[in-house]
Amino acid sequence: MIPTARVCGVGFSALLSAACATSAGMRLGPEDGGCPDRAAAASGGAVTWYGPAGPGDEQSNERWCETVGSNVLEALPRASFPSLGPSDSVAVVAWNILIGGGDVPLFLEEVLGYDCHPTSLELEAGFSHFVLLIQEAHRRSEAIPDVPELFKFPPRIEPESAPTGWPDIVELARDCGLALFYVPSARNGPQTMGAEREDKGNAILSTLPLMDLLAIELPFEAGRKVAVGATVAGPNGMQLRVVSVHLDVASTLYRTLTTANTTRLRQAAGLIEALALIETGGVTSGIVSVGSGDTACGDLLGPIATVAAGDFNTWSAGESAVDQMRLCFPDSPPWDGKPTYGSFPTDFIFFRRAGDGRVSYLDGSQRRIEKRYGSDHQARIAWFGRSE
Amino acid sequence: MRSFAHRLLAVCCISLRTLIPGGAGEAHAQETSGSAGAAIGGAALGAASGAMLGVTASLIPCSKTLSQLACARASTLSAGVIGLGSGTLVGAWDSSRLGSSAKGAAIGFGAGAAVGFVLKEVVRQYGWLDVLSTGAIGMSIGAQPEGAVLGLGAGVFVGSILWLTVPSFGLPDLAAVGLIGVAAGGLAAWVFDAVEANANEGDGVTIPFSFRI
Repeated sequence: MIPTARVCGVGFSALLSAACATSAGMRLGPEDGGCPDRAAAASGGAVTWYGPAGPGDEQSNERWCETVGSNVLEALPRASFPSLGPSDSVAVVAWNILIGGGDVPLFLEEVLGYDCHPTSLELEAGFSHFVLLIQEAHRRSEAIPDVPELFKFPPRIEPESAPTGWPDIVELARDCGLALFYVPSARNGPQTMGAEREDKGNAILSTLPLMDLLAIELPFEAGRKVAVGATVAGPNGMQLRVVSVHLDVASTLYRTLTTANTTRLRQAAGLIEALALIETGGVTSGIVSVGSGDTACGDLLGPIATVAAGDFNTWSAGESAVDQMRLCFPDSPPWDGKPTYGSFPTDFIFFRRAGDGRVSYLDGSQRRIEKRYGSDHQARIAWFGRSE
Repeated sequence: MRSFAHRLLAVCCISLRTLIPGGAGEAHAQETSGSAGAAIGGAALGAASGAMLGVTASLIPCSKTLSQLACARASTLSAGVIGLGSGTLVGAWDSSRLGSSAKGAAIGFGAGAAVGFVLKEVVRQYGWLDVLSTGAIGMSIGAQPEGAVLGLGAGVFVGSILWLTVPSFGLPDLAAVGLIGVAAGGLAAWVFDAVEANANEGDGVTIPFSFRI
């Protein structure tokens, strides 16, 4: 005979377990480990590194980080661009380029008026300086470590019809003379092609110099995701922080059930908390309770205006991750109701002004780019400039 | 959090051990009357099935609220309580009916786990806990297969009409309504079973628990 209380206890345990929460505290990057980027950041490198505080998150991120190469930084654009005028605006683009399947040079030429052939680097008269917040950028390198097959690599993604030469993000930046900050998140398959291997992640390409570089490892769900950030400066002290974001599309079924499907909300909360820490300029302790509706946005009128944009992998524009981002980025362009990945509204541009209010979103300037340019996502673009 | 699967597995094992004919405990599957043991087993099976149905139904709708966790908790707990109450009454009044649910749950667990095993081989990040999770979902549906399937049909029907007529109603919403249908159908079947068991049991309501101090 099984004691009644024990059976009932086990039954209730199942109920309560399914309703349990997880949390995603963020902290300044780790001090040790085999991940070269994090180690460099810890020893005072150019990149400030933020990561989730949960031990499970950290271990998983560390394991994935050991399989990729180091970040790539070209803080200054190689091409010479006209300086930003007092009344000029900056175009910010969010685009998932499908491992180089998206034809970035053609996009730059047709959408932004920039001919990035190496012999004729020039910005057409009347066109804006721009910042491209790229997701699913890839990089080929011999320096990417050869890792035993024991590690479960993400499968290799290869676009069906890549642009001529299929340049990686480093070659794109070099050919187009743009500033680059690229941080790999994961391997693009375990294969070795010749002596080279591939990794993939988020990147920033810019006609403006990149400063105050940030790497924000998001809470681990199905794979490692690192948001990359930088600050671009215009005239008269105008500053804009830009962050390229890519959230997970889905977690495992076990995690989905035991965390009530909070995969993207948890990652968005991690991003928000890291940005809040950055705004305050220091490290604070404390765990954000994810999904409780009281995730700390930080100082909504901080010292620098911030754009966080990219592929949020959302199934709906009303998803909690999007709502949470809108709550913490109250000056965001309104969503136009247009999906960017098939029928799914996955890509967003979020914005919040600084306390001085000198940079603002130019009303009505956000739009979806209708052509895919070889990617499976459509890009979004918005303009930011000096407030009147 | 990590012990969720283990706890769920424990519930399933205890439920089945108690309920399957020839198993331990006081339940005798071919009897039409209930017993304390069957009531306990019914409570465990109903709670586990209801909770799993509740959490599954909450996955998409609750992801559209900032109080996502609270929403999922409420859905899981309320569905679990409905399952717990209904399962207890079914076990107390009609152990044969409960035996059928237990067999269905066992078959559902096996079928779900088999699907999970295939997924584990195909999907990179899937592991044994995911096999257990698909098994648990299969268990929750298998305990009340008719209700769950009818609910799924109704949900997909309603969802399809909405999908065709309301522009803002997307495919994820259709999936959400389908899952809600599964959960509503499964829970309704638990309640219906409890009512039926009471009708078969005869006059009055007797819950055969005894306490000794």
